[in-house]
Amino acid sequence: MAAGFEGFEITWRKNVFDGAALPRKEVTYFGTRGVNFRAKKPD
Amino acid sequence: MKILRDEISREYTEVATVPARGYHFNTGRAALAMNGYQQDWLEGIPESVIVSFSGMGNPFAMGMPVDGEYVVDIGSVAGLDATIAARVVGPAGHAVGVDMTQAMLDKADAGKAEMGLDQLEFRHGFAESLPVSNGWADLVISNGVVNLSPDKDRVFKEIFRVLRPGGRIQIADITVDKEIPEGAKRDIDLWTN
Repeated sequence: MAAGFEGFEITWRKNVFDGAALPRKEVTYFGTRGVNFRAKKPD
Repeated sequence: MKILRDEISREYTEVATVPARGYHFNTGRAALAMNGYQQDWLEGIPESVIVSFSGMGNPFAMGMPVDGEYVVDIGSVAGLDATIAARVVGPAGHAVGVDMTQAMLDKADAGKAEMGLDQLEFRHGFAESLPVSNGWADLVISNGVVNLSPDKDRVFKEIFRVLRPGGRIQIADITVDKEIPEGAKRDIDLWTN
């Protein structure tokens, strides 16, 4: 991961665009998903 | 970069002032439920702050800040995540929300005033040049904002700069399954909408 972080981890992934009022075809085409991720600056 | 920032600010001014208009992303309580926010985190937070939430995930799903910690929220919009953090860190801690859209900062400041949280603060600034001193933060959070920057390497260098050694990042954002064509990368509508 950029800038020297360590322990990068994606903890969650979901189609957070589901049910949006104005859906866009690009979201489906590119497989866009919401993610949670974490990492740490070394001690 | 200025044109892109202006267009993003225009879009998020809409989210601040007309949150119920309907967007290609979920907002408010629908987005919070989708992203797994706990109801007790939201209790007592002004509805004006909640309705303009437009995050892509949940930084707190990876752990809450702890009492006394210093937290930076990059792209704090109407201030929901920074407010949640400020309540958890308490008076011995501090939470700073950074945003470039004045309408969002105004809304966040109004919410802060309503809640009376002295340890909560909102500053005008950009993800690529955070108005935070070196090594200040224990935790940096962000929710749906890093993807909006055309210079993500610089954003992560800034996050690294403001974190103390051993500090954490807990970020929610978006990913894609397919390579984005160059033509699409130049389509400002896809960046902002």
